[in-house]
Amino acid sequence: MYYIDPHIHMVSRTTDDYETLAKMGCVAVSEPAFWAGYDRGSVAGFRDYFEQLTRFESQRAADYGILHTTWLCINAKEAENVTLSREVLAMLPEFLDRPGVLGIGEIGLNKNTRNEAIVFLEHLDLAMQTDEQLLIHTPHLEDKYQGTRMILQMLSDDRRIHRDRVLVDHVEEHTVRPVLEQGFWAGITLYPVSKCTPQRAVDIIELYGPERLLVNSAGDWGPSKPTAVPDFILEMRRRGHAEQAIRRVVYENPLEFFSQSRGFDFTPPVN
Amino acid sequence: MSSAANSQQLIAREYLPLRAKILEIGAALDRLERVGGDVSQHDGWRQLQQALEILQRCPADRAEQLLMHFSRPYQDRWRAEWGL
Ligand SMILES: [Zn+2]
Repeated sequence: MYYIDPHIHMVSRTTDDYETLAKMGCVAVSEPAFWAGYDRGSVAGFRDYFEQLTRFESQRAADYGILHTTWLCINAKEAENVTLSREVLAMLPEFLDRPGVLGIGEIGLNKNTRNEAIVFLEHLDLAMQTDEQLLIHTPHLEDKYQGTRMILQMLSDDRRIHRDRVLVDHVEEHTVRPVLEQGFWAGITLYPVSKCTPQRAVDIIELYGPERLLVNSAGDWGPSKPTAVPDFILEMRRRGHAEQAIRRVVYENPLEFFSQSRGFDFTPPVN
Repeated sequence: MSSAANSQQLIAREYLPLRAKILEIGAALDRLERVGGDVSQHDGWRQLQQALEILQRCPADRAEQLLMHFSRPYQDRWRAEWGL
């Protein structure tokens, strides 16, 4: 089955991973800008990173028949530095019209601080001025519930936002309902320990239905599994879900969401 | 397929993995105790003990209840308080 991984950090993965993904049916990925594992020292570091995301990475993916798309921002962890964040925000528009750029992301909260919220709001404002879609990271572990509610609050307070152009990512059982009820897209991340297993992801699909739900591996430089979406497909099959229902979640939903971005130019594989 | 047949199939499939996970919890708690010393005042230990009670007590939505148990609370006046 063809599928799309809507959240994976391929700059942290090897070319062998591209080959494996391609063999498993992956035809497109979307890569949000995120934290490198260390704080970048200057705006120039971000410019280089955006260059890598928009030029080199798309070429590396194309060699395996995978469309690479991306989202740009300063991530929530480095957003604690408001001065640097504002420099990055001022530079971002240089890159937003490049091919494959789907919008602004993954912005969000990390420890739910005032500085993180300030930078989140400034990203929202830029996205509204430049008509970009949004991909939003919700915090980890004990901070997730509080951070998700804060994010939903900031989104709802901004009347300019079209909710069907916003993906709130890393939902779990305690955050998925408000995200979907308020009309946003929700992403489920399949992580070995800190987020959702494929089994729990299928539980969520069974409880809420497939509408506006995406699943991703969020593969990165930490413990994660770039082939987690095929694990989800297998679990759906084991439970007897129809191929069409599986395809809706892992292929048609990301296509529907991404197609709202002017930077998305995807040619479906010929059957 | 009837829901009775479904439930039989499901328990047959989930039995061994669940048994293994419950054993893992038992063995990990034993391991902590074997080391000696007092962990009873550790926040994580208390949270885990309460989580085990939630599993026993909740008739439904256990995953959601457990996640809420491990979560910091939300208060909706934060924007005003931070002047945002
Ligand atoms: Zn990510």
